[in-house]
Amino acid sequence: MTVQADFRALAGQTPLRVAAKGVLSLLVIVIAAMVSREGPVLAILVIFTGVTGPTIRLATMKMEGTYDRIIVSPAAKPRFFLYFTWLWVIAVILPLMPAIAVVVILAGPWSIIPVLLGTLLAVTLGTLAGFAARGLSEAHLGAILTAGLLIPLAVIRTMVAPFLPYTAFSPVSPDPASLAIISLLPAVALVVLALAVSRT
Amino acid sequence: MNPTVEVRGLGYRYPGGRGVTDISFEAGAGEVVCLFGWNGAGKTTLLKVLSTRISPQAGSYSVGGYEVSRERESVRRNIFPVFDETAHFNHLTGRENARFFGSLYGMEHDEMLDHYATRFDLDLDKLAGAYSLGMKRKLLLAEAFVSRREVLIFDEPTLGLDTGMCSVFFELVREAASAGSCVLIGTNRVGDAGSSDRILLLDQGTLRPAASVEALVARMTKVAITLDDRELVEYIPSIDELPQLIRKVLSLGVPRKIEIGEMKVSGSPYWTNEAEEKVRRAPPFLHDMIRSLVERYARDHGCRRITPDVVDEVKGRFEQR
Repeated sequence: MTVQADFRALAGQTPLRVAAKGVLSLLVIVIAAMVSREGPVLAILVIFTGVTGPTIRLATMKMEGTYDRIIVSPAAKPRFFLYFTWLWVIAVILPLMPAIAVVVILAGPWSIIPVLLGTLLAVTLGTLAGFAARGLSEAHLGAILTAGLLIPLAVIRTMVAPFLPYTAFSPVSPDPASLAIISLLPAVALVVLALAVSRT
Repeated sequence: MNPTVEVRGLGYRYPGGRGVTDISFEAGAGEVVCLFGWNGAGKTTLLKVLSTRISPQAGSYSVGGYEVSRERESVRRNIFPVFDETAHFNHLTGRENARFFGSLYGMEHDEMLDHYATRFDLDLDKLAGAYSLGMKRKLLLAEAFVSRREVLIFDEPTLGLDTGMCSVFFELVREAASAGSCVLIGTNRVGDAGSSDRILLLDQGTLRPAASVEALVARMTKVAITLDDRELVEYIPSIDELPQLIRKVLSLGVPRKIEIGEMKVSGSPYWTNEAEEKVRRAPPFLHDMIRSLVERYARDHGCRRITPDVVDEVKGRFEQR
């Protein structure tokens, strides 16, 4: 199977859906940029779509029966879920490209790093929530709780904020120490995901 | 020779108490084994355990010498389960679905897939979402035969298949068995069970002594229902369960004809004109069924003449259920 076919199967996106999301997110970011709030608004968009997308997709696959077919196949489960996460990072970033471009132009090229790491964190947490959910209603609840917790942590200055990739969409210092710190949570989330799915 | 599938004291109970207990059997390469049981007997639970969808709470299970509790991934490499649901991505074509799931098993067998699709008269280039229930089942079955695993597990494989396709399925089962696969089939249809080498009778979550098809059929009633596009043949253990079956069939559509058991037997009771008139008032597709039920009732109760009272009695009993 090609990545493109896997993307269609697992991310369930169509060109029309991607285009519609792209136009909508661009409009939202342009409006936010007028009041200099493009950074937090992009963070909210990334978190919301990043968490809810994979969670609901996994819950839908459970309902269709395709999830069970994948689980009982000999495919290595950590590898499969990490691949699923990667496809969903693309599925989240693709329609947000115009919005991200606006933020990068306004906040500087280094702001792309927290966008990428932030998407990875949101999608990994969304995949974990979808993996844990036993039904569509549980998946919705899990996604809302996860995104609902992450959004205030990201946009309000808290003790956790320095570890979250979203804290500053204004030029991030490119020094290795700050990059290591904001990479910490996505990396931990990926390890937790791989360990959680390894016994399925 | 070592058995391909070895099950010892297997058990799995749901919180409500249903499930399977103390299941033990062996099945060898090239053997077709039927797990036969009525609804709720535990077939699907047992097949879920055998396909590693759920882990056994008791006992052991191995495939090709690999014990499921220690080497689950090795067991998965040797089996291909087909569940009683149609598990496909509706926005992909049949071919794309087969390729996706085949890739999970490390398979790239497009030619084989085309071969089995032709046998099942299936258009692989249609979206799976546009498939009927029967077509989705055929795609799943084709995928299983393409996989050529050591063990093929089927739960209600003929669900949604018409009579001709059921024959194709059992031909392919025989071919797979000849090629060395061990085939496990869970079903509640006697016709399916009759195509296996051995029947394991599952009742209330445990295995009963091995049964023959004749023994299973002995106390059952055959019901043939003709719908617009296909004929269903079901076996039910007693006439009391007929109303439920008829209700289920009516929910699928209006049948053209329903025949129950042996329609004509020697010494059939004599119908009075008034009783015949009562039957004629019912919808035409129910005539044969009512006649059959009434005749059976009359025979069971020693009635030589079928009067309107006998018809009313049977209809009353039917309506009560």
